[in-house]
Amino acid sequence: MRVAIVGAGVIGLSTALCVHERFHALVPQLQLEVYADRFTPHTTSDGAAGLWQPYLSDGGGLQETVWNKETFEHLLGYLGSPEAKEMGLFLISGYNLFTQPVPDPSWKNIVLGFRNLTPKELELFPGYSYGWFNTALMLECRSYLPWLTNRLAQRGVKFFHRKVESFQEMFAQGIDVVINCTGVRAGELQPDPALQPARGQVIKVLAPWVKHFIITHDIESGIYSSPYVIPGSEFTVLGGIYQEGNWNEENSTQDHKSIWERCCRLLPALQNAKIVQEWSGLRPARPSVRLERESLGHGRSRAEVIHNYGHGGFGITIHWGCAMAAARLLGSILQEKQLGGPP
Amino acid sequence: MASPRVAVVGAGLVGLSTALRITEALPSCRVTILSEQFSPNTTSDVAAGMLIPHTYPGTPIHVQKQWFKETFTYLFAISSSAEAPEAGIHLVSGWQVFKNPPKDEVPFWSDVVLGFRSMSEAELQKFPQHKYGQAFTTLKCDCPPYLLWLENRLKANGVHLHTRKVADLWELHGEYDIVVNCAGIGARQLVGDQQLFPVRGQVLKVHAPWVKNFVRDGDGSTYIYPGVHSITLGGTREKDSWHLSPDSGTTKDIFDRCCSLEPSLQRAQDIRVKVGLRPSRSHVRLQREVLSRGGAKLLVVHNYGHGAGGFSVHRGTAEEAARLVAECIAALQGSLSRAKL
Repeated sequence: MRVAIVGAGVIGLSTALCVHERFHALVPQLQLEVYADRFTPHTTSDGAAGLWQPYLSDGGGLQETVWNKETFEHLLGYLGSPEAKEMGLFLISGYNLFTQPVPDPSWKNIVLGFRNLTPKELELFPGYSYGWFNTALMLECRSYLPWLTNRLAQRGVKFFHRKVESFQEMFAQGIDVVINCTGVRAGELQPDPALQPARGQVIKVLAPWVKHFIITHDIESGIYSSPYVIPGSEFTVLGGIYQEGNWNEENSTQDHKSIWERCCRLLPALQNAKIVQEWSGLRPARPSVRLERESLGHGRSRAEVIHNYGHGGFGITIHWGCAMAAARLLGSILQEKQLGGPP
Repeated sequence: MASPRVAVVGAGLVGLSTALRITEALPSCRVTILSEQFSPNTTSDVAAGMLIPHTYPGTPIHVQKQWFKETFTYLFAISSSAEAPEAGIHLVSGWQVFKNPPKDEVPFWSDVVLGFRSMSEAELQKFPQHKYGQAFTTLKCDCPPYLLWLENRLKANGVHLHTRKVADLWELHGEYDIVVNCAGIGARQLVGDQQLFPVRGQVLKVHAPWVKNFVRDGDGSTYIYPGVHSITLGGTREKDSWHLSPDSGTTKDIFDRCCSLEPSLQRAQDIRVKVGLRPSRSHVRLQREVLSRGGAKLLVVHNYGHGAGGFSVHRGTAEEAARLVAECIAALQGSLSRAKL
């Protein structure tokens, strides 16, 4: 029983691990393979700062909120373990800033210590009159993806560095189920007008005195189009670009200027920060995550695809909940083939 | 008196910040700093520099609160300015956790720090051995950067800094009009203050840049304070110990206690051990004194004995010391006018 995961970003690798953990003992003949044309550190996930934080409003509904919660709790469980550092996992506190009062987010009870900002705290951020403080998690993919890769390799999962051109190509090779974790380029395997790139650009700097994340919001402009500062374990990430429909993965001088000026206005001390790197990436934006089964072909050439893509700018935030949901879908497929589940 | 000559003895946190406040408040003074040690070799360099007050049994609470508030306000302004990284001043959030409920559920400084509140059940789960906790955001002054920043400000204000061991305040008579004694633990010998005693503290400075929040055990024994370039792990409180060399058994003990609060510290690298002697006293000696010898008089302002709480109150005590220096100047001018009559 050959299952191929296509895509090796946070979604692909975590789905592979979840599936292997859940089924390898129950289905001894399960063979897991990961196919991707880009591996860490060249995936979209690698460029993200790694902050666990969903969007302000749960556009995808209750289901996405549940997946976010499952991810947070799964990660929280690893915090006290010796693996945490290797995973790139740690706690971080910080600020969400607004120019007007807003309703509390769906995730207020998922994060730790969520509260409104006091007037004295708001003095730190001229121009912002309302905000939140909470403690959340950071999961740095340039550590997490290698960690997932090692776990998978230890379990005998095989990796193939190549671009998959079609689902048919996989089935022709003898793959029984494809788990489609191809992110922003899922449209190349199957057209999906709902999936759009949402280009982001970030500047990585050395600013080790910054210990909090600071995310500003401009309700009119939309998510991530307002400056943000996120301190990682080595670098601090400055961002605030969200350009829907832009496929350009090259850094833009104009965007650099915009990020730099707005972040320095937010935190004047950043003027002294040394710039180390600049990066652009394409968030796989979609009105909701596509997480569903699809049967392709018919009769004897019927094959199954599980889609797991379209996580926008919250892939890290939601990844484990989605991995478990994808694993459940695989479970149904295995049961139908009378391979898995209780006898 | 046109330009009173003021000698500040001691170049730790208290000496430097007091000297700076004097140059700001009394610009006519000519201030010189005399010290045996400068950063990075002062007691202050060992401390983490966290703004979490230590309670002095001999000082009224409202005075301690005033000192803390002045210090916090002063540093808060620097922390959000472009100078913050150079000065080593930054905000840090975290938790103070208790195995047994604290005497003061709401400490006197709770409304000076930012966002003070009790920890939620979910937050306490991270600390299974602790039953109660407080969450807040405060400031940290990293040393040496903060001390070097103070030294630079002083030099820009025309203050000279001299390496000199002052064995007796009377050495300075004639050279200076007013002496400000910020000798810290050195005051025990310098002015023979038997009420001043060392409380030895050993700390580890480690590289663990993923630790972004502070954790402090409310009993004061164990703490994890993230600084700009290193995390300070502590500590010990050994009353009357003058031992300045690190103890390896203590190092292991501190490391173990901190790892039990924050397991990821097991992966910390580059562990350096430091020892400092907190200049402890029931209350800070912050007063004027007129020393007499024969017919000669020496005007002294004492500002020492800050124990475990120096960083938290330094600006406040510097302000008070500067006021006392102003009183000394007025007294000198008074006696000069009387002399002229």
